[in-house]
Amino acid sequence: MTLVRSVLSITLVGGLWLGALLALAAPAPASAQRRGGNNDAQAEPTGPQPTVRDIDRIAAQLGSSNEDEVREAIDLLSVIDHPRVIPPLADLLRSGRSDEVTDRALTALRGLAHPSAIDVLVEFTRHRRARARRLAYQALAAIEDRRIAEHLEQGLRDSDRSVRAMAARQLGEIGATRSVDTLFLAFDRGVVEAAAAIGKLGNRQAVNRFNEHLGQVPLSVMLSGYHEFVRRRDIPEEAKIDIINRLGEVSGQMVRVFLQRYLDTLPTRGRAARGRLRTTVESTLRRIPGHAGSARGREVSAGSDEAREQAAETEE
Amino acid sequence: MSNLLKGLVAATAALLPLAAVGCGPSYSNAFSHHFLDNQEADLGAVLSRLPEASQDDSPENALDAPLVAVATHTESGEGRQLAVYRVDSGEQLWATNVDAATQPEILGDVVVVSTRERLVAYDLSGGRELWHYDLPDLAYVGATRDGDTIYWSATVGALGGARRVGHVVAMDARSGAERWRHEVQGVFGQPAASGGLVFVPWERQNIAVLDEATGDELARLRSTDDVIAWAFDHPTGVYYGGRGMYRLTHRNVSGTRADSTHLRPPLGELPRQPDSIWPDGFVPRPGGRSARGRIRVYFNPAPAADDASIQLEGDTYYFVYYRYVFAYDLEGTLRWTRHLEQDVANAEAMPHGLLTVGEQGQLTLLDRDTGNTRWERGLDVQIASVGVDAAGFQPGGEAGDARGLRESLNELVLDPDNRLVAARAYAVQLLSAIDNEEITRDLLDLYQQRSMPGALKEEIREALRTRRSGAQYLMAALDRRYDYLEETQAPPLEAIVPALLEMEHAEAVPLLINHMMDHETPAEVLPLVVNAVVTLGQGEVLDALRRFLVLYRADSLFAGPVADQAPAEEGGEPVRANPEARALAMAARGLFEHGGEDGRAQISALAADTGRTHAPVSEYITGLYTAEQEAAEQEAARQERERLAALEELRRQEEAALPTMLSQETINNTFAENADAIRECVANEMARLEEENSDEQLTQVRVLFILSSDGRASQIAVSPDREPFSHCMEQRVTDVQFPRFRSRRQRARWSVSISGAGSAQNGGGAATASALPADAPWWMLSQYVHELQAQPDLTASETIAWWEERDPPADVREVETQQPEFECPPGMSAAACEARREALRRAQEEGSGETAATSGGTTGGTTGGGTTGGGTTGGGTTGGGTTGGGTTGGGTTGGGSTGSTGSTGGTTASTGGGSGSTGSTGSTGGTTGGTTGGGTPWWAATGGDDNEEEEEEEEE
Repeated sequence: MTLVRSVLSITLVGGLWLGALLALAAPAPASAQRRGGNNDAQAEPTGPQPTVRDIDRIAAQLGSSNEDEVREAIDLLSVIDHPRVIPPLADLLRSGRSDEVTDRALTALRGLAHPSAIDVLVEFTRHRRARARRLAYQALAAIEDRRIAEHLEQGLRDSDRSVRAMAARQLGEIGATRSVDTLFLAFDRGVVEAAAAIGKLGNRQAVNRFNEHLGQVPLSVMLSGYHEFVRRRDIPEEAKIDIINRLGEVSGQMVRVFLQRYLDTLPTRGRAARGRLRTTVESTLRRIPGHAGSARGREVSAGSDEAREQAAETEE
Repeated sequence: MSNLLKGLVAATAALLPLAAVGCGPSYSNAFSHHFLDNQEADLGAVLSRLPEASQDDSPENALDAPLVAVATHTESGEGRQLAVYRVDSGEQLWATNVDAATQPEILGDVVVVSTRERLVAYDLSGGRELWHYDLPDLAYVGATRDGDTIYWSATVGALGGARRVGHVVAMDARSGAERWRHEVQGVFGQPAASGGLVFVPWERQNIAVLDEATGDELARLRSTDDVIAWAFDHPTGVYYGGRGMYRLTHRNVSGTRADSTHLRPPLGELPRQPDSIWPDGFVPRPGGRSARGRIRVYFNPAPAADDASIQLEGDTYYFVYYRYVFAYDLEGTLRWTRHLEQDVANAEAMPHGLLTVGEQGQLTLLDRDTGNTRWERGLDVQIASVGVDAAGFQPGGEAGDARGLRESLNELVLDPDNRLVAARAYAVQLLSAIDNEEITRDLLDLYQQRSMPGALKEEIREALRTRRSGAQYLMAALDRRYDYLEETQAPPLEAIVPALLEMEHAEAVPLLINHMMDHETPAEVLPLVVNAVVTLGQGEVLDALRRFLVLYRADSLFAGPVADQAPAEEGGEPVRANPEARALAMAARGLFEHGGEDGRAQISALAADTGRTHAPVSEYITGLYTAEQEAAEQEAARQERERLAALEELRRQEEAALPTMLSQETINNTFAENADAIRECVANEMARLEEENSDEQLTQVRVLFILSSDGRASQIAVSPDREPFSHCMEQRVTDVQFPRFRSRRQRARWSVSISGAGSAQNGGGAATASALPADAPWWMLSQYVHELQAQPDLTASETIAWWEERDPPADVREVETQQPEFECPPGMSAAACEARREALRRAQEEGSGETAATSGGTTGGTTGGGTTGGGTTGGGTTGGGTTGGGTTGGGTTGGGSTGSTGSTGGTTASTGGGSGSTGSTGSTGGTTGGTTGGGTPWWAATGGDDNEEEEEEEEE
């Protein structure tokens, strides 16, 4: 579809920008890529890219009544990594456009990831359409600015679940360690995506605090947080062992799979291979029923309570 | 006829003293349609038999103890009992198995209750059945007792239906022996009895007063403007009524509310408004648990000071709504409220308060002044219905401190019993009526209770709209924003915004704008918020409105109709407006109305941008202009209608103000205004005569014609009738537009004397007619003029045509006018003649200051009565300037204005008319020196007069 649109745009505009139009879905500029930006709405550029000198002309195209031309102009602007691109896109957003154009412009701003876009993006975090808010938070998260975490925390207060989830994920992505308390609050309020963010950002104390939720929230949610904790090097081994032990108490197939995969990430050679962590994981796995190495390893008869419990855990 | 009948009845009553007490009524049967109602004598006899009013301070039962007779309740309906308890001790006196269909009644030493088939009486002391009475096809409605007799009624069709039969029966209370009975086609209510009389409500309009002993009807009261739904006897009197209450006095013979002893409790609109302030006496009181009887007004009469008033014990009304109790003073002001643990099965108003009987057997005495519990006791019984006889029960107890109404009403509204929503809504109304700004906060808090039923929320929302204080609490709530983390709910904008709008609280605009731009504002209230921004805001909101409109004009959430639309096809579903699209439309309206030229330009541009702006919004904006244009056109049309109406009114007034006919003065003035045209005819004729050397002269022109009411002349006759002069004149006169008048037509004339070339230019001396005394006879003027003509010319004048206006000569000088010697007429005595001469001299001397002498001609110009005559002409001929009545206008003054003179070369003609200003022109050359009065030009001719006789006289 993107290709069709690009071709249509080529037909309409023609000339110099033929090659550039093929680059509509250009990869995010370096800055955006650096922050994990991923402009999925745009095509890979294949021709000569527009430059700063083209901004005014492309910006004029944003006023076109033809939506295809507008989209084309957005895409062209999005590949110019220059602050002057922001004002025309901001004006475009504020001028009231269709959902598609608005979303595309927000996506472009995400790719540009320039602090001068913060104002308009913050405006759009209060847009009545949830998708626009999500895109705005995503775009904000791509910007390197000390104010961003604060703005993203506002997303946790949104009435829309998907926006809260987006905000929580992005807080984890940008490494907003100061937002851990807020994330815990969101986690307590049922923002399950906060678990992974906490796992990414929390310290030793956060592990303990997180552990308190075990048994209170679905295991899969807890595992998403634990997954982040145990793969981090800045978390002490003791904390990881504590996590493993707690999961061992929970047991079940889901924990077994989790630990098995975690075990696969641990080094198999050197001192680490003989470290306490690996040993703990292995011993825990052996204690979990159904594990090949389990002392109690056996086939669980279908229809038994244990089988149902395992199935429930799996579904969970 | 009626008076005759009344007279007969009165005579019968007088002759048969016993008649009034039941031995001699004219109709042995009661309830006859021939019985005369509202008879003063009948009522007087009845009242004379009633006992003196006394305080209701003791129970009526034979045990002289406060009692309740309870029909018990069971879930299955099986095993129900009738039981009697003492109130003070809670002791059960007895109980017996009976399935009561009606509420038990304690009547002296018996307890009466009906089952579905029979009426049963039990001994009050032990519960033994004394008697029963079968009730085939009849619904027992209630009983009363006086002495040893019980009177009860039963009926069919009280609530409607084709069959309507009523029974009223007198029975011995202990034996059940029937003493008399009446059966009529109609319905009876529960009777009352006192003083040997039975008062039977009948057909909801009458009270039949029967003799207890015989059952004969002694009197009848008929209400002509009210419904009578109940009656009861009481130590303080006999009461009856419907929504209001009557006490039986001699005043009630009027049959009208206004002239009877009547009281309408000022309780306003109560929830589930009871049809009657006392239980309907035509309908049985249910023996089982029923909503009927759970909503009731309670009161207890007290002895009244006079015949015109009704007093209540404790000056208190109580309104019971299941578990809720409201107490009011006599003005209907809420005194307190309580909500009890149990639904109230029955109650009795007492001197210190209200004794309530709860469905679970809880007896509670609520204090009259505070509503606090003064005394309570629990009976171990489930009550279905209960009869209470506890008058005078005074268990003591403290009134306690009164609780605040605000607090108690809040509790009522918060009570989770959703059976009682109507009463809770009533509590909301009462709460909102309290003049305390914090009530606004209370209402807001109540509204935000999650458990609050929708109907109550609606009531609270309406109550908030009535508030005029406490805006700060609304603002505080408005300042709140939804927050998922803090679990903060969005403010109830649907309740706050209308209230702020009603308060016209413009300070709320910034907060309202915040909510307008906040995605957490629910879509359904967004139009309300935008409307409030538009309504309360001024110029400061334009930017926000513009941003809102621009931002969302193309957003998919805002697509859809801006207003509800009728179904596309018959029977189809109407298309509901998208509230968000509606909000956009309102923002556009705000810019349209308040944005000035810029705002209009902006929304016009948005409307024109149909590729982006949603079509309904574009159409709405276009519609704004159309509507405005239509409104302007309608306004213009309205103004045009008003203008036309005003014109029509003016025309009507002008029409009314038109003269019936035109006066000669008006005709003369009209000719004066059209002088040029006529002058041309005259000039031409004179030229023609001169050219032809004709001997004929044009000395006078007379025109006779018919004037139509529209001011047009027709049938014109001109004298002299010479062609082409007459033809010219006819045409000119035809063209003249005279003022309109009311009569259809009138005859009119006009004449002018012409001082043509060479003729009569040698006027006499410059004497003035004003020299003549005011009462001089007409012939004096002729004589005077004649003498003047005989005098030599005093000025060298050249011949000037009569119509030419001339300035006085530069060397005009004051000419001593020589007063001609008055020639005494024959027969006048010498002394009189000398006196006349002296008068003439004196008059001349006095008038000389204002009189401009002229070098020749005679003086014309008269004034009279403050009006100045028109011009004068010379030419040796006298026009019709003299007036009737033997008086000529002269130089006399009148009304403070001075006559003026004009001199003419010849004859003087004076005219009346003109207004009372002074003319003062002098003229030279012996020609006409017209005086003007009221602007009449110099040539204005001597008009004809309406008075034809006068005209003819002159001609003669």
